[in-house]
Amino acid sequence: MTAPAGYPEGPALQASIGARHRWGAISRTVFLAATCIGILSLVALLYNVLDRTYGLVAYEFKTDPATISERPLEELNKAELVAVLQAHISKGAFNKLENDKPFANRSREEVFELIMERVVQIKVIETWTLTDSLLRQAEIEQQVKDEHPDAILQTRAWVTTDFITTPMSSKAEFAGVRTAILGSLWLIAITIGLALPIGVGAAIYLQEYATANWINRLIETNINNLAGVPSIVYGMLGLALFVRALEPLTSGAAFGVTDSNGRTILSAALTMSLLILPLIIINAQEAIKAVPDSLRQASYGLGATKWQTIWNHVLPNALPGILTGSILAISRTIGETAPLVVIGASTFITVDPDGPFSKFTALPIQIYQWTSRPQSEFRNIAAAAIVVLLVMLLALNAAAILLRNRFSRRLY
Amino acid sequence: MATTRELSPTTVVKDSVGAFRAVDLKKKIRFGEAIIQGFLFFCGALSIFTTLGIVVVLGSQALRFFQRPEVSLTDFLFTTTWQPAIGKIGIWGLATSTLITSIIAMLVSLPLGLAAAIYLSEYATPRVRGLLKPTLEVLAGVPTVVYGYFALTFMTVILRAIFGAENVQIYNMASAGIVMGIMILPLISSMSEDALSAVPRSLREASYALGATKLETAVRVVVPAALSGVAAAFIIGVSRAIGETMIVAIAAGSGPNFTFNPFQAAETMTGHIVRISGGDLAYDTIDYDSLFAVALSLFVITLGLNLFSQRIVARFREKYE
Amino acid sequence: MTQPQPSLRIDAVAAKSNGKDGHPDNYAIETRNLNIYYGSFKAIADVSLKAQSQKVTAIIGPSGCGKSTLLRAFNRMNDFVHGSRAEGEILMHGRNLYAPDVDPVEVRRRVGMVFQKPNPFPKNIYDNIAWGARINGFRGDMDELVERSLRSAALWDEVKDKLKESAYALSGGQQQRLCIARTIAIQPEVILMDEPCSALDPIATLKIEELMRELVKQYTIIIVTHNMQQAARVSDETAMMMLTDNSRSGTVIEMGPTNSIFTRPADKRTEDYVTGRFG
Repeated sequence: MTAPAGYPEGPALQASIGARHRWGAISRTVFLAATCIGILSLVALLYNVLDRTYGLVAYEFKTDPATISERPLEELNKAELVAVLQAHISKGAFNKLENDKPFANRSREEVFELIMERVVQIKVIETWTLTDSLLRQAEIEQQVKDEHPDAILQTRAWVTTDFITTPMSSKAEFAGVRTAILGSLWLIAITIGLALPIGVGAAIYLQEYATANWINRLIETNINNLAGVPSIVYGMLGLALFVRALEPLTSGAAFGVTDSNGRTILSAALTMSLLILPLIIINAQEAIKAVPDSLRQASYGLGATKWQTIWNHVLPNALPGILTGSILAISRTIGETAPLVVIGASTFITVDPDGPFSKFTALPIQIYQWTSRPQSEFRNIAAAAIVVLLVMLLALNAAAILLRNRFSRRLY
Repeated sequence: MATTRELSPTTVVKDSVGAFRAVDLKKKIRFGEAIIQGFLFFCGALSIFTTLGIVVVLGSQALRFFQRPEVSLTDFLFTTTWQPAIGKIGIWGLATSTLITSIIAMLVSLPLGLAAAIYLSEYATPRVRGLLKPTLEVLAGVPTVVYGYFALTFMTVILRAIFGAENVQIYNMASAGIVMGIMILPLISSMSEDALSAVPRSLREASYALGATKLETAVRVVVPAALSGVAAAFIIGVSRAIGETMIVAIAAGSGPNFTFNPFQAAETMTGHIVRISGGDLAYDTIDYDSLFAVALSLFVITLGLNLFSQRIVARFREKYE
Repeated sequence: MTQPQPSLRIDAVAAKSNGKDGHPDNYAIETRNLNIYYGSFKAIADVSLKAQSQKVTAIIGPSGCGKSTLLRAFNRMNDFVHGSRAEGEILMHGRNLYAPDVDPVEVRRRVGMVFQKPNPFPKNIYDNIAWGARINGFRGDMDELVERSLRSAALWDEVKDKLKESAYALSGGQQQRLCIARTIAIQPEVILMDEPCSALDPIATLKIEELMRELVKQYTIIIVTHNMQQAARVSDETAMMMLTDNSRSGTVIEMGPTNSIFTRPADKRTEDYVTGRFG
C-alpha cells in the first residue's frame, strides 16, 4: 500500500485539519450572529416604540386649573364640572357643544377633557422617552425650570383606554384613535366579505375543476405575478377605477347617498380585496391540495357530484388552512398604508364611519400622519397608535392559531 | 367466456332481494353544478381582469401623460430632474433614490438572510430552529409603517451619532435602506432556507463521507446545489425593495433629488406617489397623469423581476435529479 | 479539539504487526462489545466482530436488523443522528475510533463510504473527484489523481473524453463507479459499502462486483448486502446479523469464512436465513 502522494501528512496534516476546524467554528458563530441580528432588530424596534408610550411631559396652561374652581377639579362630579365649563367658555361655544352631543350623554371624563382643552388650554411643551425620564430625571427637571418656568412636569401614559375611545383631534394631547380603529374594522369587514368567497372560489376552481390547458396555466402564472405587484400599484388602480371611474357606485350616489365622493370605505375595500386576493387564492390552493385524494375518491365512489364532494368533504378538511390564510390576509389588510393613502383616506376626520359610503381613516394612516409631524408629542401618540396596531395584530394571529387548532381537532 | 351485454340507458337489473328494477343511467343535466362551476371559473378569471385592469388603467393614463406636448419619452428616460409642474419629467430624479435604497437594503438583507438560512438549515438543532424561525417570521409580519417609524426615530438617530449630524440629514436614504433590509431579511432567510432544505440529504452524506467538515459541506455542496432558490429569493427581495413605500415615504425624504450620497434626503418613486396623491390632487393635471407614468414604470420593473426569478428557478431545477 | 494521533496511518502500523495473523493491528476494523443507542433505543447490542485487512467482509441479515447502523458506526456517520451514542470500542488497526481525542472528520477520510443510491455531486465528473481531494489538502497533480482514481474504478475508458460533462449524464452503474472513484481518490484504508448494487441492474452489479475483487488488493472492504448470492460471490468473510429474540436490537450471531457460513453454518438461525426459509 503506497503512501498517498500529494496529501499533507504528519504535522502539516494536523495543521490543515486544525485550520479547517477553526474556520468551521468561526463561521458557525458568524451565521448564528446573523440570525440574532434579525432578532435584535425586532427587540430594538419594540423597545423604540414602547419607550415613547410612557414618560415625562412638560405642560403649560393658559389658565391655571387651580383658579377656575375652589375645590380641585379631580374631586368635582359631572354636574359641577359642567357648571365650571359653562362659566368659562362663551355661550355660543357651550350651546354648540350641547348640540353636537348633549351633556347628559357625555361621561364625566369627557367633560373633564373638555375643560382641559377649552378652559385650561393645556399645551404640551416637550415630551421625553421612558429611558430619559428614568435616567435623566434631575437633568430634565432642571432644564424645564430654566427654559419654561411656568410649566409643570408630569408623567403620562400615552396608551390608555381614553386613547382608544377618543376620536381624533388636531392637538396631540387630546387625540385618540377611535375613528381610525373603527375605520380599520369597517375596512376589514368589507374586504374579507368580498375577497374570501372569491378567493376560495378561485382556488377551488383551479384545484378541482381546471384542466391543464393554456388558459388555466395563464391564470395560475398570473396570480403568482399579481402577488408580487407592489401595493401602491393597486392603490393607483383603485384611484383610477373605483374612486374616479366608478364614482357613482362607490360614493353611493347610485344608492341615494348624497354629499359624498368616491373616496369611501367601499373604494378602499374593493382595492384591498384585489390586493389580498392572490394571497388568499395561493393559500387556499395549498390547503385544498393538501386534502388527501382518498377522501375525494371515497365521496365519488358513493355517487356524489363534484360540488357535493367539494362542499361536504374537501372544504371542511381544508378549512383550517384556509382560515389561517385568511387571518394572514387580514393581518396584511390592517397594516397596509400606501394604497389607502392613494385612494384618499382622510387624514383628519372626527366623525365615526357609519357605513360603506362614508369617508374614513385607518390606523396605519394615523401612524403615518403623526410620524410625519415634527413635534415630539406626535411621536408619542404615533407610538401609542403603533402599540394598538401591534396588539390588534397579535390578537388576530393568536385567534388564528386557536381557531386552526380547534378546527383541526374537530375533524377527528 | 361470458358475453358482455351493453347496458342501454335504461336497463333492467336484479337488485339485492331478487326483484327486477329499472335503472336509469342516462346522463342528467345538473343545472346547479353548472352554475356553480361557472361562478367558480369567474372567480378564477377575475385575476386576469385584475391584471388587465392594471395594465389598461396605468397604460391609458400614462399614455395621456406621454401625449402631452411638453412630455417626451427621451426626456422621461434620460434626464434627471423631476418636477412635472415646470415641465421637467426625468424619471431618474426619482429612480436614483429607489435604486440606492434598494441596493442598501439588499446589502443588508442578502448576507444576513443567507447566513441565517445556513445556520437554521445546517447547524441549528430542531429545538433551536423551532425557537428562532418563528421569531424571524414575526419580523416579517410587522407593518411597514411601523418600520418607517423605526427608521425615522431610531436608525436615523444612530446614523447621525455614528457619522455626525452634519453629514447625515434627518431624512436620508441610508436609514430607510437599512431598515428596508431588516424588513426583507426574513423573506430572504425563509426562501433560502426552503431551498437549502430541499437539497437531498444524500448529497450532504456524500460530502461528510469524504471527510468534509460541516462548513465545507454547507458552503461548497449545499449552497451551490440550492443556488437557484437562493437567486430567486434575492430577486424577489429586490422586487420587494423597489416596491416598498411607507418606509421610504417616512424616512427617505420628500422631494426628488438626484444624488448618490446615501446620507442625503431623496424621494423615491413610491414615496413620490404617496406624497402627491395624499395631498390636494386635481384630476387630469400633469401631476396626476405623471403619477401613472411612475406607477407604470414600477409595475413593469417588478413584473420583469418576478418573471425573471421564476425563469431562474425553472432553468436551474433541471440541473439535478 | 485536540489533534488526532498519526497512528491511524496504515503503513506506520503494518510494520509493527509483521503481518502476524491474529495480531490486533491486522484487523482493519474490530469492534469490542459495541452497543449503539438512538436516545434510549438500543439499535445494536453487544457486537464483537473483526474485519481483516485487505479482505472483503460481508454483513448479511434480514432487513431492519441494524446492518446499516453498524456499518455507519465504522465511519462515525451516526454522529449526525441526533441523540445517537456508541458504547464499547471500534478499533481501526488497534486505535479506538470513538476515543475523545479522535477527530471524526479524519476518521471519515480514512474510512470511506459508498451509498445505496449513487449520489454524485451536481458537478462535472472531474470536479466530483477533485472536490474531495481539494478539501483534504491535496497539492499534487490533480489530473493524474483523477485519471488514476477513474482507472481504479474501471470507469476511465468510458468517461475519459467527457470529464467536463455533468455527472448526472451517466447511467446508474457508472454513477456508482464514479462514487467509488471519488472515495478512493482520498485514499482511505477501508471502504464501506452500504448495499451498493441494490439500485442497479444486473450488468452494472456484475461490473461492481468485479471491481470489488480488484479493489480489495489495496483496500479493506466491508459490504452490507441483503443479496445472499452476492455475499457468497464477493466476500471472504461473512457476518450474520439478526434482531435478538426479545428485543429490537440487532446483533451479530455468527461470523466466519464465507464458505463455512453458507455451507456449514453453526447457528440454526443462520442456516434458516441462508437457505431462504425466512428473510
